[in-house]
Amino acid sequence: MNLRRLALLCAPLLLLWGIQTEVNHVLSSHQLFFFSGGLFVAFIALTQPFGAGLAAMLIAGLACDANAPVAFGTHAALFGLAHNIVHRMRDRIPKDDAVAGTLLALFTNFGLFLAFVAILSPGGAAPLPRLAADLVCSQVLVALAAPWFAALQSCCITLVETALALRAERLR
Amino acid sequence: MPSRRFDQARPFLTLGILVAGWLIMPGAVKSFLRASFFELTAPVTLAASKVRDLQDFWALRSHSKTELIEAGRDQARINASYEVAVQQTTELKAEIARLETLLRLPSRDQYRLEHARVARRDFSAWWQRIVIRKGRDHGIPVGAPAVFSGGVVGRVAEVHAMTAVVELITSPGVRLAGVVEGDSRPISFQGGSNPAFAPPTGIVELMPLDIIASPTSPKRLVTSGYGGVFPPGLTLGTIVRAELGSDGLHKSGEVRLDERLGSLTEITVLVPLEVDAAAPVRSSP
Repeated sequence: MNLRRLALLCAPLLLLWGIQTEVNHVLSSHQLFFFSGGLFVAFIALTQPFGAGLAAMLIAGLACDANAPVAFGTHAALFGLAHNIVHRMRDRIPKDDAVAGTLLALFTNFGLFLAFVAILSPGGAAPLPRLAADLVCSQVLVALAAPWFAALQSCCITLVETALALRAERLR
Repeated sequence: MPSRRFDQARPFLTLGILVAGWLIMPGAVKSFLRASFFELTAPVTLAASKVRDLQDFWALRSHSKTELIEAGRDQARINASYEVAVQQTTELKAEIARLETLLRLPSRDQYRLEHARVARRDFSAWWQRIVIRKGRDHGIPVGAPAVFSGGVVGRVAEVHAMTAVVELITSPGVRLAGVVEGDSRPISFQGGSNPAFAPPTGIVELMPLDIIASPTSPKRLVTSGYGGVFPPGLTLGTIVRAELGSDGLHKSGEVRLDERLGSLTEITVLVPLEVDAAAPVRSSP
């Protein structure tokens, strides 16, 4: 696994985490919550080699875990699992289609949100209307941000691949 | 064929091995990793908060001089009334100290006030927390109460080098003892559901039967001082509904919390003076 590739995969994820926290800061006065797990997972799982993708997912998941009062490793494990599922079926999904990528991010986000609901409120402690409002808000924002985030990640990946190709050429 | 099946299962096997390794990892390593990842992301939180402050600064700069003069005049009036209150407080404190000496009573808990800017608010259905821009460097301990002009904010849940995390009283997991203003019998308060686009609410349990509260005649709920975290008399919220509980011996009800809890920008942490004396503290800017 190339460390430069991993660093460039993690950089947009850190930026996404920063944006997510800022959006949550703004939404807090309306008692709404934005969850963007699907964006973390979808594009990396769709385009990247398994090892680098999984490592980036685990690092991003641990960064999310450190900032939330959940068992340390919960986000990482769920992101890893979602990454594996998307990676397993990625041959059937068009990689360059923005609509397909956005739909994949939405489905992944929905699945991850439901997994968090099952883990964090097993007895139905959290009120359903609030969870529904959070889910709708998250899905709308994910749909809006997905094309931009896919483009950003694709730029980063192009950057790392160009750098790797130049390095290989220099070594030759 | 078995080889192909193994290839298909390999990603899940890899993840399974990683998760198993994670589960048997010692707790100390996990705590270290958690703190490291938090500190790694803390500069992002702090930078975003400072940028927000800069934005506010430039927005305020665009105000006209007339508006600033009016704001200054209003501020001077508020300051004048606060100065009177400060004088009264000083007199009352001196009176309390005199009575404590006379009656040989143990002195009340004393606190140092540490004002802190809110760097980030994080309100979900499962937790309600804020990150403040002061931490271990400013002597903030875990468990210290946090307050604002409207009453109790919550208690410090985590302390890091330059930041601290405060769990709000609106958080469903928070429980503390309160009393109805003017009454001495303790009531159990718990952070409740926080519906979207609505003010936060809490619930009270184990309320005496003779306490009557309704939206037309609400009762103010304040901290009881029991338990040693919050000093007595701080506002928690207003009891707007009280009904007979399922056990028939107590009432339970709904508490309306301050709407401003959802848009806090600055809070005050009450740092107990014993903690302060034990650890050296960096002076506040």
